[in-house]
Amino acid sequence: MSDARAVEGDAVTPAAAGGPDASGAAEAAPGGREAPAAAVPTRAVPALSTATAVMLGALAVAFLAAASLAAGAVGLLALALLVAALTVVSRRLCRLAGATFAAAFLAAAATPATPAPLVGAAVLAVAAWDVADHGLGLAAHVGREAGTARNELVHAAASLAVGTAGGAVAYGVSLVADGGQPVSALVFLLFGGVVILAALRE
Amino acid sequence: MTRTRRWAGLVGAALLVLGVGVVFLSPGPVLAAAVAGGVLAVRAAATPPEPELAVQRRLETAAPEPGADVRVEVTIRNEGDALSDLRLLDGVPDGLAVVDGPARHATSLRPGDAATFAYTVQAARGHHSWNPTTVIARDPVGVHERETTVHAESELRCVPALQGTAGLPLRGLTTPYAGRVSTDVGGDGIEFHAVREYRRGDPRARVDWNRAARTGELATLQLREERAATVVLVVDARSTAYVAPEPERESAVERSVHAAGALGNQLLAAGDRVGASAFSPRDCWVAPDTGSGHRARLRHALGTDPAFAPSPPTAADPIVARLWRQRFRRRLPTEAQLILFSPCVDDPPVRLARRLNALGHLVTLVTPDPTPPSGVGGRLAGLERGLRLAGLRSGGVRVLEWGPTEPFAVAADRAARRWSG
Repeated sequence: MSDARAVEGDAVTPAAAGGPDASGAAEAAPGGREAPAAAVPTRAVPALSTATAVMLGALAVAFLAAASLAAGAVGLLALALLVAALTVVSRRLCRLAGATFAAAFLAAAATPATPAPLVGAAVLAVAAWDVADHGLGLAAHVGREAGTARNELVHAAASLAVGTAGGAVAYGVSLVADGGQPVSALVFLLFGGVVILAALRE
Repeated sequence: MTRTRRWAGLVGAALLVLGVGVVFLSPGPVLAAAVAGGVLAVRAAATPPEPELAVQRRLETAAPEPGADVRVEVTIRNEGDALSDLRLLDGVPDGLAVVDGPARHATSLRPGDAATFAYTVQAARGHHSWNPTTVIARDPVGVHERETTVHAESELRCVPALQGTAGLPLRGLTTPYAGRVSTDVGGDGIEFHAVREYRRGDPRARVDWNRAARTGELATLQLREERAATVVLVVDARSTAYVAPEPERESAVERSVHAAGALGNQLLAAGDRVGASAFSPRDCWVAPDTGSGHRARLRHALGTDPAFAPSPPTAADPIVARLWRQRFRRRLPTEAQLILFSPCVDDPPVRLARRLNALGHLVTLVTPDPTPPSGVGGRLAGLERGLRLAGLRSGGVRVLEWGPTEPFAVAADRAARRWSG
């Protein structure tokens, strides 16, 4: 069989794995037979990625709920979307899940929320989305049956490490700079944040 | 190299959360935005991966029997910098089916590290060489993606043995050499042919003594001479001949090649001279000959020559039937008869059979039926094919129809009982 590279689509359905075209005086497959079902890669997210993403997402929801119940509720919706995205193999749903996680933080901003769990929630939510999206990429490229454990674990670890480092630095700075800042300091913080994020745009 | 744009949208989300956090004077969301900022900083710093890989492929056996499972082990070694995200798609030849484990793998490799994965292919007749392995590498955060190929030469040759005892009666076009095809020439042999006037020197055993007793005149019995034939097996292997009643069934070309092998084996054993050629854009010509060396040559040609390959020729090399026929006629010995194998789903093989038959190279057409028994399309194709075959029969070509589920030996036996020399 020709192992042509699968195209990463926005919405990839598992049914697109390809069945034999049985129409009229059918063209014979090369070699006179169709590859057995076991050999056609299933376009499904590898089990490890699915489990890791759902676990990280659930932890993120728990942290969100610890910060504020409203945020936890929105986070639960995000988790449901993430599970749906991994089940039907859809990148669009995965993006929607990421956006819903962001909305959970907006909900946390609107309600009185404790800061420390939100930092943890942010690290976990970013990692959960990253692992899920990576798993969707693997589903498109190599499918579920291929050996992917090492790749998935390395990616998940890297993702968590990056998030944790960012979170630790941010939380450390916030602890040091704790105290009643004037409003002008907040304005400068906002300005600085916007400049940094703008600089980091692609 | 491409950018995956997988983090697109994170900047917007982080800015929104940051803004809303500042507006509501809530430190938590601001810190959450800072986490996103950290990821974005790493993304900005990520460099595209430069995969430098060496691939080694080990086949369990390079010359398996047809239908045997062959385990393929692929080892990939990282000869450059660390690659945290690597996806491999092995270039399995088109003619081979992967029966166990996809020929794909994803891993991450430190410098000098190697990864091994394995899959199993089912050997099919022919000479197969592996295509380059496709490598997709991403940086740790998945911003850049680079797709390249790495090549490792691997070849699998699967040559079925010439076997089978399916004999097909040949037509009466022979060489001057002794063999097993009864001719209309009177001489030495077994079967009665004619009686002629006695000439001095005729062997006494051949004198018709009954007649001498009855009439008093001496007469000599003439027997049919048995001679060897020169047979060229021609397999229609144009891309249109790669048809089967159902997708998972053997194609007409595959069945034709098997039948040609069986027939060639039987004819060689009977002392006939056998050659082979493919009516295909991919040229193949095995000149008619006898002997065990020639037998091996014929087996290898039918087994591995690209012209008889299990996968059809590409559209890039078209066939001009007239030119093919001219070249084929130049090569063909004058006394050669043809056995043409074709599903006859279009006209060129029909014209070829008719022309060559008219030119004196008597043609026997063996036609494996590729039309599905059900469905309007299949029935229509079957009717068209039936008309073509009827036309050929009326043109003096011998036609052997070979049903989709029938073994060749059965079809040949059926024909042998019906046809006379």
